[in-house]
Amino acid sequence: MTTLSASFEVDIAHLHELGVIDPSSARSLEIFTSGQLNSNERLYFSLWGSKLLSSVSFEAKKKLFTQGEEVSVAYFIVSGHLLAIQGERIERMGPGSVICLAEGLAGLPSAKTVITVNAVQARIIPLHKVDSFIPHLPPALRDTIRTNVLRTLGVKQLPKGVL
Amino acid sequence: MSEFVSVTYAAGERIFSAGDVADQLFFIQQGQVELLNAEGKVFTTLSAGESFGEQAFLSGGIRGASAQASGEVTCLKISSEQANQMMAGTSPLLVPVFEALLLQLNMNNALRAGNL
Repeated sequence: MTTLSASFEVDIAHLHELGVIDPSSARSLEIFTSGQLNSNERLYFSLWGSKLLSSVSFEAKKKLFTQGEEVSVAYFIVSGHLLAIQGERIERMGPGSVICLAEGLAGLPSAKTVITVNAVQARIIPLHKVDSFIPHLPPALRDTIRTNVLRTLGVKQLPKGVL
Repeated sequence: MSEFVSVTYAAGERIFSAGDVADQLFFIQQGQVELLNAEGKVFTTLSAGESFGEQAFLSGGIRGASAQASGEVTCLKISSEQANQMMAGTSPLLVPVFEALLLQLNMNNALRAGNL
């Protein structure tokens, strides 16, 4: 029998308790700047309200990525839940999850098959646009992205010529 | 990166703690740095050429983990102000990409730890 191995989500109920119910209200911004949010909550809030990322909705049981396939887009999950399957391992991902960004930046295929559990709202991270500006960044910024991609993927090296 | 300050930490010295305001980014020049979760457990060890403390790129960022020198370690230290200067003139997409990458890193660390 296959069982759930791990799960991740930002505590949306906690954000709601604090009064953060939308990313652009004055009350929400006040709480954001007050220092009451932890690191992941702050990142969630900022990405949730980003005007640079377009939105997309998926219905339940939609396959977003297939293990081994090329990655051309990455997602930040605003609401809803997904399952990521890699062999016998199954992970549950909820609001605040980021899917396939490091893989896409590294030019690697998706390590997991990802399927929505219920209706999902997400923001699209357009990898083709990101790939076009990364080569022109100052070296310190490029190195920082590279280090974070390595740490995110849990590897020591990337394919030659990437990042 | 010669315009940045070089600083040396003694073995076991705390560089920053989870919950601190993130006002500096670090590049390891020599030695190793351990990152610790909220329970004080080491979840990764970084070596020369790697960076840590990237929350400093984000306005009002808060440290999500603690960092301490594994042995004697030398790092280049970049202030938030210097980081913001570097980011000025780059694509506005860079900030959400950094934020999303940090969130994916935190997510993968949690998933690897088998959090349920």
